[in-house]
Amino acid sequence: MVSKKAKKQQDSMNSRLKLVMKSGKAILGTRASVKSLRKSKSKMVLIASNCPQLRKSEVEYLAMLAKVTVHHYQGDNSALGTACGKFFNCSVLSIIDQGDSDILTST
Amino acid sequence: MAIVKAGKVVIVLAGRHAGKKAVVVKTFDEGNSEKRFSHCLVAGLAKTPRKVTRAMDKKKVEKRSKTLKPFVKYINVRHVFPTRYVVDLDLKKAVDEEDLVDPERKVDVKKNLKKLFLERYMNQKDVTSEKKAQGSSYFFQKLRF
Repeated sequence: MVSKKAKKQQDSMNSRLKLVMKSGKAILGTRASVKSLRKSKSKMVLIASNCPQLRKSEVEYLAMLAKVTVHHYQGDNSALGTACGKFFNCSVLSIIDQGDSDILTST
Repeated sequence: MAIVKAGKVVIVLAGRHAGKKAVVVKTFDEGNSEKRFSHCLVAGLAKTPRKVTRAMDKKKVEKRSKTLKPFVKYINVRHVFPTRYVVDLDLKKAVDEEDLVDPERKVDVKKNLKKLFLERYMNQKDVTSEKKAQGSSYFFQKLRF
């Protein structure tokens, strides 16, 4: 059972993501996220829980090299896609511009 | 600060040299007129020097170390995986871009590279900073997979 505190953190992450989608710029999808990491355009990376381990390690390593925070989203790729307001799944998400949200400063 | 920078050790992911380690000599972030994609010039080890142990005598060590074979290549940045290691060899003087066009001169470039790499390989103890020593030792070890 998801504890109340965990659920609250999750909701706040979801609401921050919603704000980023509305006011800022985010890139969904592994290939494009990795490209943004390589070009140092990314400010933060979110990884879904059911992302394959190899891909997760790869993205984490690249984020470590680029000095970018990695957030392991508590939810699978379909939940992450829904949190972004999209009708598809998203395993890796890269935030380029946070807009009005405080996602970069709070986590 | 891009991830793939001059001096970084990278792993080549595609092509004939897939699975080999290389050092980035120069990056072309915006591409150039012929290659309109982000690419870099790397100098790597097609063959790493053979393993040596303490029991081997000097002549044998030299012979086994000479099996190191370098390569030079322009690679698309997507076909390269950066590592956290850095090798501080000044390769820009050794690898001159105009020399790479002419095949004869390219052979000379590779010969010079072999000398440079061999010198660094044999004198790994002289590299002072621990970070630089780690980078060199990582570079000369074959990636096992």
